[in-house]
Amino acid sequence: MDSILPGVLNCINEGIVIITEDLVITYWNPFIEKLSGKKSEDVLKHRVDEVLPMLERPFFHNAVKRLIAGGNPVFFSAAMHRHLVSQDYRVNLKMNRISVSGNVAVMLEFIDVTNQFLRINQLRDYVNQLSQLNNQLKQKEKVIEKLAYYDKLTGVANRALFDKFADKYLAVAKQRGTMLGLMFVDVNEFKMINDTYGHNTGDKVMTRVASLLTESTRKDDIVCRFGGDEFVVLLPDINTFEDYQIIADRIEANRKRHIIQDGYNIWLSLSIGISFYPDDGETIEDLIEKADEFMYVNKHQSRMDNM
Amino acid sequence: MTKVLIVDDSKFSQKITYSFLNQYLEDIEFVFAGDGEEGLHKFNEAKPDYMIVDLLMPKLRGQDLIEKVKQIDREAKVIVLSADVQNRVREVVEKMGVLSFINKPLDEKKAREIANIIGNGARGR
Amino acid sequence: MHVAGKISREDILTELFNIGVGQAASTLSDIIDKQIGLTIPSVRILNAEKGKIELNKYLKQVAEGAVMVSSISFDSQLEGKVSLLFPADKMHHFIDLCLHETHDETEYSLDFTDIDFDTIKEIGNIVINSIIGELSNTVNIPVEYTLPEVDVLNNASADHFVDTEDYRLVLMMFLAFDIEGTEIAGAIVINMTLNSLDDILNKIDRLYNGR
Repeated sequence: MDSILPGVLNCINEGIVIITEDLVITYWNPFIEKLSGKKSEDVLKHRVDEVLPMLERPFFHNAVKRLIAGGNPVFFSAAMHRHLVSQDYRVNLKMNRISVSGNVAVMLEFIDVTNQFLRINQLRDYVNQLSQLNNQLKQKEKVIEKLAYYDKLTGVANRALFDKFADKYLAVAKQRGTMLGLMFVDVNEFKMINDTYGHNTGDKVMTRVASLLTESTRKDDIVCRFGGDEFVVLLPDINTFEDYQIIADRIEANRKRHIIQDGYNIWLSLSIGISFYPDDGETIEDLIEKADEFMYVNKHQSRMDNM
Repeated sequence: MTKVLIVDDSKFSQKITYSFLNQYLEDIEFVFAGDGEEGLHKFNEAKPDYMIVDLLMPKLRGQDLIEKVKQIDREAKVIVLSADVQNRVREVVEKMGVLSFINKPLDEKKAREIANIIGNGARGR
Repeated sequence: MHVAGKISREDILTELFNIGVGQAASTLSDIIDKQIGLTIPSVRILNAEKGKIELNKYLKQVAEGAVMVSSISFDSQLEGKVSLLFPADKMHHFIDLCLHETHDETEYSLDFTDIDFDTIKEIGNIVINSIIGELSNTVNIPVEYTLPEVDVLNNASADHFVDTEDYRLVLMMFLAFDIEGTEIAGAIVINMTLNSLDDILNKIDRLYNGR
């Protein structure tokens, strides 16, 4: 039996080292040669803490003392003890007391866990990548939502968002018995502004109209670019005409004026038509139709005024 | 008569220290305190020649007790007897000017070491 | 003799375990190269039923009862089982402190890896070695055991650690380590036979009798 043991230790896939009570190496198997890069003939009869300098610390000396006295195994993890045997391998170290022909010795088992570290680091990287990807997707989702619901030029709501809110606000108004205002706004002679000052300036004028409407309305009001030079504003939760009047006055103050854009002095005037649920209609279509109608009356009025 | 104040929150530990030292020293009087605060009080009241202080104690830690005692009497003779045997702790405490830092548990060898310090000091007076 | 009052078995065991914890902290401090703040542990000797109640109180404070457990059984002259419990939610941070590593909170979605288990196995080995080793040295009764088994238990209850059938007594000790401001409050549960504890206490009595 004794004769096969060295053979077993020689081909085992664990670094096996046997030391005396005084830490002198008496056995060094081929696997630890591979892990440490140190040959058996060069280390035998040397102290293990000279051959593996990471072991030249009080915790190791105390552990050996304790192990020899008490016999209970000791474990050192690769995570807490880096480079125990070399820079290239991560190893766990297990120490047991053994009796060799009446003498007490200590067996050190070095278990190669380098691959575990690689695998876990890969996994960690992978999880990080996934989490980054997830964040990017969330950002993109936000952008897509923005694209889907907001007008690219002016940044106010588009028709998709208008449709979403219009029905909701109408339902709330019906339920609470409040009024819902729908304002149709048209930029007068916008074609002429475009033709005269160029599309670039025309676009900027449109953006300023959007800002003017947004600034004049309340937080829950929805300003929507309906298309071309038309805006629709939803005014929920109107209890009296005074509520509306406050908003209307703010818009009125800016409805007709000269603005400076790109160095041009541009005459900006808006035509506005407003309809209310329930007085002017029961559906959003009815309200839009009515507001549009009133807006044309208003536009006609403006033309008359300008003549 | 040499007076020794033993400050330790463990009665068991007080008893062990007392009986070990009593074995090796003659003409000695012991005073006991069960925490740092009581230790400070007894130090002022009994004016001991030596103090044996544990570190990990309620109310006032041994480290803080030693600091206070040293403020009162820079020459106060303090021996630390502690279970907290971390080198970093030892370094800090040794800088406070203690006579010796002994690791618990106390055994005959360590007890003789303490007895020698106290005995020499007593003979020197 | 001016030592007042009777010295209880708890006081003696507290002092012995105190020394063990101090040694464990010293070893760990040497390995991780950081100072470890200690609190005063106190030991309670309870019958198994009472022990379960106290242990369940501790487990209730731990987030969702998830604990990381290192445990060993011993069965030569002394018979029993030691379990070292730490709240699982703090262990990632604790392990990072021991390894001088920092990770983002988000990375903690990773479960415990084999590396984490090995780290805790080493810490469990250090703590149990010191405490049981100190006890065994003092009472001069050899205790033989293997390396600890490490496990993470969700919704742990005292039944996992206290066996009322075979072992009738529970020694319980709450201890806390503080590393750079992070406090890890753990519990050590030693479940053993009445005979084993009697052996220990008798030995202590004999050793310190007359002192």
